[in-house]
Amino acid sequence: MEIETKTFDPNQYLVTKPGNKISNKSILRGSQRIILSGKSIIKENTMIRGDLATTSFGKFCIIEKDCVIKPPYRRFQNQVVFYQLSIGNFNIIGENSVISSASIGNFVEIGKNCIIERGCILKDCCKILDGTILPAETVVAPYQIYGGKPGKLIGSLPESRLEYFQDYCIELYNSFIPKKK
Amino acid sequence: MTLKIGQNTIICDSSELEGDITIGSNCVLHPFSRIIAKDGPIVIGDGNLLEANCVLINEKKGTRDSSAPMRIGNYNRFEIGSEVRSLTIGNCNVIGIKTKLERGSVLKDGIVIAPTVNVKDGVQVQNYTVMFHKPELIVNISSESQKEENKLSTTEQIDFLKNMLPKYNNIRN
Repeated sequence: MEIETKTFDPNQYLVTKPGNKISNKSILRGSQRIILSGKSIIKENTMIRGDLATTSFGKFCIIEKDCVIKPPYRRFQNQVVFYQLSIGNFNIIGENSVISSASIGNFVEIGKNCIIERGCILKDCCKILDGTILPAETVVAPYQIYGGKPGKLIGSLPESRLEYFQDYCIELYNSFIPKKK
Repeated sequence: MTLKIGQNTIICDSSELEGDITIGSNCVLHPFSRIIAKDGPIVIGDGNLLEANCVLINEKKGTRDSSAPMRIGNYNRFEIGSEVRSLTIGNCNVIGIKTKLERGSVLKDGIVIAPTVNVKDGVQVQNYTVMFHKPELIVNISSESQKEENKLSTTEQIDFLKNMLPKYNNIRN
């Protein structure tokens, strides 16, 4: 698999010791409660709302531009409680998406302009097509493809998806390198 | 350029306020929400919730358009990335994620608009309406209890956010 290398301005990006590449223009609120395990990329104008509840990311998470990631809330006994959003390893989140799900598994691909409303659960190896709206508290089973408005089951993925997608994420991370002077 | 803010209203520092704006009491403005009063004032009632990236604009559509004030009622919720140009909005409405309300549309009470719906110029949305994609646009009339439900869910969220937002964000005084 060959992916063309993308370069970034080393002044615009912060590279931490565990290998996270974070844009200076990203908006991280409540950074005490944002957990990045390492080797993740966060691009420009992406907003992560750690001030509402803890948000945790696994390894090799690639988050494109203009996303909003906000923890979900639940109502009970005349109160609103925001609870934890956890995202697993090897995920890609496309441009301009809004993520407010309860949990996202491993090897999940989310397309551009998606809206995932509060309390959704995405299991391992699923794929959400571009422009999908998943209504609140939807559960997506492993190896399934969802698409449309509102999101419906469209097809399924082969078993080889796991290894293919793992390689793809690692390639994407390694091909995003600083520009040489 | 006047700015009037009611009691117990929380406005995050990174939100943008421009022009003549009046905000009622018990409102919450998330970081990076924007209110822009270009051609005429904006009046916002009590208990409104504006989430991140949402925009309220009072702007003329063409050169012939006359300037008018924009009035928003009480207990409305504008979710992430919504764009509001409508001049009259009633009480207890929920505007979904990335929804667009064009200038000239009118909203009454107790309305729910689902994500990414575009409400066009000249459309009058009646009381207790639900608008959503399936995948073409569908408009349903719900019962009166929807108004109370919308009001409750917004005020409960505001009560939580009032304690939570000042801990991690800078608040405008």
